[in-house]
Amino acid sequence: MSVESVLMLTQKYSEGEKISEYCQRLASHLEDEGVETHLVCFGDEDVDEKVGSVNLHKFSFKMHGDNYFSWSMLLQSRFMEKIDEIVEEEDVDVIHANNWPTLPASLTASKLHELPFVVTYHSIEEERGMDNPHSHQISDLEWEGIEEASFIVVHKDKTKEAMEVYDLPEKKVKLLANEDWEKDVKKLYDRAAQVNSNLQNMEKEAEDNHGNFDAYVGVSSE
Amino acid sequence: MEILMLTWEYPPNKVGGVAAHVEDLSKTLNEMGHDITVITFGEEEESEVKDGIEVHRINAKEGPDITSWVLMSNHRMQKKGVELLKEKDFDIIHAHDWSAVPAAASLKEVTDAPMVTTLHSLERSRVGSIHSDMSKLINDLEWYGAYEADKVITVGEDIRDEILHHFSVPEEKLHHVPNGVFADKFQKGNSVRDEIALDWEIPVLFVGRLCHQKGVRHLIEAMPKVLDKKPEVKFIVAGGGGGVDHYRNMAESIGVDDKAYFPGFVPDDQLIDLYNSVDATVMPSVYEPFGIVALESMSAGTPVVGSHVGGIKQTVVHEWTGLHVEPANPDSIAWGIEKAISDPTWNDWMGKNGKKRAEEKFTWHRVADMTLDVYDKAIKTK
Repeated sequence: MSVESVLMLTQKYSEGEKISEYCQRLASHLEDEGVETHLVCFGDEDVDEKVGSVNLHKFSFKMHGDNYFSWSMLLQSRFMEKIDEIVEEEDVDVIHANNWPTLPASLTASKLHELPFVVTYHSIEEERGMDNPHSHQISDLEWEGIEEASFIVVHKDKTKEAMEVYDLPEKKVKLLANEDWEKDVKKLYDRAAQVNSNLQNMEKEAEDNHGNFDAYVGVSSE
Repeated sequence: MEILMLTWEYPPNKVGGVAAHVEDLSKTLNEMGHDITVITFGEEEESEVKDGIEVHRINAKEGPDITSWVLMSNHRMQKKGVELLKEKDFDIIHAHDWSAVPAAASLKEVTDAPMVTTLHSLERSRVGSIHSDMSKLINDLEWYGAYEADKVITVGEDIRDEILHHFSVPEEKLHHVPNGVFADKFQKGNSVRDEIALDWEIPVLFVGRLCHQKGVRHLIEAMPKVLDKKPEVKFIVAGGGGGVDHYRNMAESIGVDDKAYFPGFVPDDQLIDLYNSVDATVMPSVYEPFGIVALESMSAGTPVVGSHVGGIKQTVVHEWTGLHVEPANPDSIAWGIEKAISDPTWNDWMGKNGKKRAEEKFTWHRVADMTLDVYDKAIKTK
């Protein structure tokens, strides 16, 4: 299966910002492969426009948290709202989160819309030193993302090494340190979407034929 | 109706009055034929059906502050809610207090169900003013809960007015639905009077968190004034919270410690016995959106001496079921206590009136009916 549309999330999107540039580069490659990128992020005002290869969806948010962690968590309701809007209008095949500030909404949206999700950890809290007052909560979110993502993308040995504390299936974490990593990310999308689609089809078929997915896949009901 | 309740506290996890409120309302709605699902916080992730109510507990890692923990919990509540949407089609999403607002607001966005928010109290009045970033965030979430909701329920008329003016919420969106009480529960207690007071002593009860909002300081300041005229009075100051030692020391410093007993947090069964053993319950609160203690005491047939604030204005009828006193005024509190216990016949009569009032006006069935009416309006508004 080849995905046709990706929903990317990053907290902020601006020129020169590292994760923004990462998303831009990936979107540009995806465009060459015929894949559309929708990118959702926080901004000063509500914006829906095409910028380069990216269909940019910025949302504004006026509430202030009592610290950066709270503010990031508060943003999730708006992320969810925006994701919902896009999924209603577009045929999104995969959700791609970037770092913990986009995880809660990505995790929930992936469950709600039954879409696979991939996360890129540009760094993780363990690697950053666990010296933030909310480090344990951030780490907990990162772990939740690790558990539920189809694939985890990292680009540095250091990040992969820091993730060893989590005792993960080796093939779930993809260290992409190569020049043309965008191609590999696209392959991961395709693989995640394919498995997701297969399972959904099996489930549907089971419901149609047997009325019970567990029985269909051989799980005893006893 | 298929109703989703979101609350950070639900029995056995009880800190304030919200847990009991949600549990009693849910039980009553369930008895009336409605399906209730509760998503709440728990020590473990688990789901159970208890008394016909489906309860899902989520867990979230604690952080350095309550707000970050609440927001983490809301993420997990939201995720659980989305999971439940696969099999349930909720007619109402009901959030209780600021601590369930983000999850409720998000779930409202992804379903067709209207959102109802009950604000049990407000941060600005709980802490006196919005003086810290944390208070500001809580205040913002209370506003957000009122703003996002199709209907807002308040437990008292004063808090309704506060929300109307402070948050500029349209009047037609606000609905006053009082708390309820299962009166018979508070009539099943045994008198433990012999255990808590000598034959000649008159026990008077305070129940609540020992904090500024409950007016404990003013009660302690009133004690010597009461004892001057009625040395037979004995005060049972029951309740937990961080202030037990502080108020015990205060009682000692003004020389009333031998007449004021601080048993700490008292479990429900013992509390019911206490209500049935004292001559009056005193509620010297400076802020009290509703004040369930008044209904509990009235149900047990014990008159209430309560500040003329918030919900106490609606539950206690002056010189009928108890007495109103001026908040934060030790002279007035002392006057009320002394007057309530001075004439045993009148005290009994007020107790009987209070019991009747609780049984007739504040039943959970009546409260559930009023809540359903708000739900209907919310569905029509959406």
